[in-house]
Amino acid sequence: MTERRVEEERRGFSRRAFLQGAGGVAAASSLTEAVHAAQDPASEVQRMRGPEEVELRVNGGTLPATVEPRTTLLDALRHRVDPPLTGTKLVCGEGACGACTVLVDGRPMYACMLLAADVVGREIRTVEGLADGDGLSPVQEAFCEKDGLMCGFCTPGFLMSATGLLERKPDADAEEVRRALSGNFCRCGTQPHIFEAVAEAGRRLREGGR
Amino acid sequence: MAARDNHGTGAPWDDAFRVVGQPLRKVDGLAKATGQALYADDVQLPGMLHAKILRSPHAHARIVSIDASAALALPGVHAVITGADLPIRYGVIPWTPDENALAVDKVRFVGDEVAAVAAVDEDTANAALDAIEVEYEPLHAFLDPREALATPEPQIHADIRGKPVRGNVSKHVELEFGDVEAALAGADLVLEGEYSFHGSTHAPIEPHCAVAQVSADGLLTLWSSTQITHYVHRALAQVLELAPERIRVIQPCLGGAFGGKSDPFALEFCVALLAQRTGRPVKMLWTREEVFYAHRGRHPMQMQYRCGAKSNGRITGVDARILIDGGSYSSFGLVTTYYSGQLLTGPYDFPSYRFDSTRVFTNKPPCGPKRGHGSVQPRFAFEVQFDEVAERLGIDPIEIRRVNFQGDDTQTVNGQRITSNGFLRCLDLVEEASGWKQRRGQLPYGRGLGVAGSMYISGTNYPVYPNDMPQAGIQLKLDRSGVVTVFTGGNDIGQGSNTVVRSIVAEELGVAYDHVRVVAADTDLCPVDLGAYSSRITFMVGNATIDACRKLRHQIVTALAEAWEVDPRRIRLMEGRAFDVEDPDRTVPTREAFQVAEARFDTLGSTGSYNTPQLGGDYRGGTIGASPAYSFTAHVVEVDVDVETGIVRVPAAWCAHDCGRALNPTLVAGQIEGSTYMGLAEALLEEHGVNRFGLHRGPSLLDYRMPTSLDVGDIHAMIVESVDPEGPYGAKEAGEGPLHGSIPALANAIHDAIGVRLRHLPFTPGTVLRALRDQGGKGEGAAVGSTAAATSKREAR
Amino acid sequence: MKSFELVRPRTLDQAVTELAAGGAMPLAGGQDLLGELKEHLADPERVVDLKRLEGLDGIDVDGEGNLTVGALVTLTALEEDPRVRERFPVLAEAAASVGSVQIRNAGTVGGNLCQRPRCWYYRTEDTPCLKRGGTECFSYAGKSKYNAILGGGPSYIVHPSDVAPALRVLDAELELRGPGGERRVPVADFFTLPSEGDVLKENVLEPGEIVTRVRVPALRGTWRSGYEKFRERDSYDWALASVAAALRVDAGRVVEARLCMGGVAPIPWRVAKAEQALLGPLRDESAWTAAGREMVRGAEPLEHNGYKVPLARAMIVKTLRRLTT
Repeated sequence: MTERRVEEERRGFSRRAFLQGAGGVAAASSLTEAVHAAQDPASEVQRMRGPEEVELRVNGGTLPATVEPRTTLLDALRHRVDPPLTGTKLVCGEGACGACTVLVDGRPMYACMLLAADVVGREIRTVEGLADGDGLSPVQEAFCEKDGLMCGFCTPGFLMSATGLLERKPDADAEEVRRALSGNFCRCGTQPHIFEAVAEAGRRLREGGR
Repeated sequence: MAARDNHGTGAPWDDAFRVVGQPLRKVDGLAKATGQALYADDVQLPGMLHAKILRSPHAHARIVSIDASAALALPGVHAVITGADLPIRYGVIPWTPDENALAVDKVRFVGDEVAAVAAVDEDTANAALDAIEVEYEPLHAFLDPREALATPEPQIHADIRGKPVRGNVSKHVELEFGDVEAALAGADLVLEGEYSFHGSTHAPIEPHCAVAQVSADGLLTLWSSTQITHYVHRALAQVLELAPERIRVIQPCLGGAFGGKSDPFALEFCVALLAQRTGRPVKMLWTREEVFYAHRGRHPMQMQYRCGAKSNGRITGVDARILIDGGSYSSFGLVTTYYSGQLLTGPYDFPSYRFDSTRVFTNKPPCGPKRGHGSVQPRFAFEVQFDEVAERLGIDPIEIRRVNFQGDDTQTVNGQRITSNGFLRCLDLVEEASGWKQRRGQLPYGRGLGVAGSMYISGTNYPVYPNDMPQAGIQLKLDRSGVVTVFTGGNDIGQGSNTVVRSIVAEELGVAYDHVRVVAADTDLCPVDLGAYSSRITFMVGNATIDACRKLRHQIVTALAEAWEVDPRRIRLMEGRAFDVEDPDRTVPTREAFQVAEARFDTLGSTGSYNTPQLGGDYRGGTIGASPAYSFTAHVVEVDVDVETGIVRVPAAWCAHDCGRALNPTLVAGQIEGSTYMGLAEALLEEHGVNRFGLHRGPSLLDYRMPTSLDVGDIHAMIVESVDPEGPYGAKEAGEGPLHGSIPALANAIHDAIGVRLRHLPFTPGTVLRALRDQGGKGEGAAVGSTAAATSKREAR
Repeated sequence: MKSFELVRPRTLDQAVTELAAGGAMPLAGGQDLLGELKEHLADPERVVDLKRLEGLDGIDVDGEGNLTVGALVTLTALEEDPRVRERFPVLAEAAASVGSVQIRNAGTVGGNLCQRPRCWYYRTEDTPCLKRGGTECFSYAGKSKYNAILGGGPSYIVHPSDVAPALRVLDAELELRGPGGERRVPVADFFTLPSEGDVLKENVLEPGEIVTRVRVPALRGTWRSGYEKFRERDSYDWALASVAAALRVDAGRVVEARLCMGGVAPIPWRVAKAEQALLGPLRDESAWTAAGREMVRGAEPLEHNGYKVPLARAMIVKTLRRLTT
């Protein structure tokens, strides 16, 4: 095909809509017909057709949230629970950066690549759930002490990945740390300090921290 | 008037620093580690509307018509605006105002902004975009800068500020210092070579975001992820035709910028106007894809260099010819064009030098300032050629860099004043730490070491708009509670500038570190500062901070001396206390000292400011690139080239950086590491380009390949402190200089490893495999069995 | 992402009925599907969530050593399973090389096999790519760095799965379930070339049909297997060229060899002549080179992916060097 023909085809093609964002922030869309979920007891096929209130288990508590079928966990955390949990960040919206990493049943996952309705009943932890009444978690403390953060936008995701690793394997070696953090980007390039922080957090955990 | 060098370089009290030089935590570390830090997208206001932008699907086209009536008719849509609503052109450089918030008459790249909508939610806003009808008349699109240079029509920009533009040339600079031809004729060796630098982008983790609100009395407040609050303030006033006193710009916590948030952007104007039109707060958050269109990243450059040298390695002259691909708008391009030549004249002595740089417009996302603005590309070309000079002359690459060292307290051939210069120490450190003497030339085939040197500015004496006011200002407020509040217009973009300010105040006034609050980057609250670019904040804001502190310190000391009836020289303010050095039992907490001073002098506050001295050569453009102090850097990079697959790995890199006095060594190390990481990343992996339709080839973080934690080798940061006579306590910059040398050092290491000179970035596996093949079968031979080839490297060379 | 109905069946029958009704797409880990939905590459009316289906999330090894992996098993679970690591290292290594930690924690084996292409023309919404019903493969005359050198035309995608080449050398079978019932298809027959099947698809799945289980026969004798993946960065990336290899070794000789490449063709690329070239002494560099030559025989690189030819050969040599050392 000649360039010219390709160009002509292009023009004829539907207008570019670009990646239009994570979809439906905040209030229920005025264009979406709100249909409550219907349950068909005979077939046991659950159907969710529109906005529905679900209960998310987040940071040890239960949070009601009105979500659509397409609402991602990230969207729900940032915009649909009260208070909003905005520590988890939207960066790429396509599982390509790690800034929205949360723990789902203890395992790091991208909140932007999970449907909120799909993780109902699973235990979710976000950066807001790391510190408790006694103060920062060992991982948070080590990130502050070793300066494992610059602009801070990727930091919550790194904290969750590091926590996911160290809670299962506090004696993780340097290679395991690098591997566990390889789904998170720090564009400021402070990886050396992050590695140091995670190593320090591991030491503290082994010495009987939380 | 701004005090620039009145404070000396020593500690304010006695001989020792108490705070400066300590690896103190960041001011905002705790907020960031708990998810509490507030970024622009975390700002939620009652009744807030969501805005979206319609972008051009064409690389170059005339806009015939725009019909937004169907979009406006959609329920939930509150406003639609187009270029006709914001017709005033602006540019971050006032001499080249060629941008509109939304396209007027023409679109110039795929992704150019055409219209904006505000609606109750993102879905409705997106539906409204779909309903806007735009008729385009496509024009020939220039994707190749050579074609754009050779082809005057159609013009991408017909005029800028009423002045006709020559063809598609954005800026041309030709400067010669000394007689280059004679110098080359007198050289024992003249090398000539072509080099190219591809495009790369900042990819800050935080996407651009802005929120606007208009109060009942018509005051506009804008929260934006900008790294230069002041320029956004000015541009908003200009484009919205709104008095500047009716505009307040606030930079919340910022998730990385690297130069990519220096320009005023369409979203800032659009949310402001949409908030005015609708009377409701409006937010616009760009998607990751849109961040790639916003770009303003590293300019692709095609560079020809000639370098002449004597047989002893001394450079006689350097001649450069550079074609710069500017993309579709000027942005900082005027400065870029100068920087491509002006910032090469150190750390080596150039007896003669000429450069001829031409920036052309193309129909691609606009290029701008990326970390190491304008000078990373020429530095790559020159340092690779210089390495070859060393090779041809049989001189060790580190030695030839020593031989040409320009020294400190000197002037460059293009008239730049060099004050402190720790480059030799940088070379010593990387030579030692990398085991250069023992290892270079002794490593097996496929592994090698390379070196490069560089310099960079600590701010420039050329503000983008000429004026006689300070470039940095600080206000201090002392409270009876013992708290000191610092107001700075400087933008902390993650580099830690607020932490630097806090450290200086704690040092100067002897207050506890956490009794210093920093209020930054809010145009209503803070004095004007020119923001986070050109590596200026530590130097300029640091000096302004000292300036402000010294005034208050004088009052406190005077008041205490009077109260205690002692000589003021006996008073010390340290570590949260004031005391009499000759009678240490006479002591009060600084809080009480503040109260004594407040009783004596009334409410306590002060201002401080900084302005550069007159700098730069006496010729047109001579001030561009002139800095009150230059940083110097040496890199050694180690590579491990897999000759079977062509992949280049960097197991280790050493970077020694002369930042003057390191006010916080942890932050400096972070900047050195981050810079080196970013340089290696763009050399090996990252590529910002378009396909043959002018459409970005992969506007996502999956396709734009930034290195992961498994791809980053060990980066060893080493700090050299050549205390600068004019820096705050002798400090210079650290945020950009340490990027430059990483790329040529990598190229030179690859040459050491496999005997191949790579002159065209990026160094992808395919490039390396091809180079090995072109080398004449050496690579093919090596690819059969690396173990056999491993022993033969040194014999082959 | 457009609105859709989320349907959550409990039984396989329900699932295939829902899927066969049209306008529906299956959801497992969602690591590919959500990307497709967000980029508007697919706009289904209904998304059928398979995760409530029972019995598809287990890894079993029977008495004879045959392995069964449910389609809903996560890649992390596969990577970490000690039996898989010990008996089928090629499969564990392939699973461990997918995406990133977070993707492996959510992504499933079935999803990895059925994921859509990563070609940037396909992934760009407004390019009328052949695989989305357009008329042309834009990589053919465009940016082809990551595209196919083998088996291409009229589409030049490469199949992005890492698990597929591993299963291919294990002679695995896939258990499929559709409206027409259950069937088993060897992995060898599951993936389709664009020239021989529906260019809009990468496999033989019929409408409404899903992968339910992977069955891997026990390896008899002494085997060495492994997966080597070449990519530009060591996390996130798909293979530019990957090699799954399994060798049966007896008395210092290779008596059976299986070799399959990923990242070079629209399907996992297995070449019998390449495997035959490996029969003989265990460590024979000339045999590796010969195998590499056979593997890329007939390669037709596009403008920007010629390097994949020497790269593929090199990866074969590397893999065999590792497995025989």
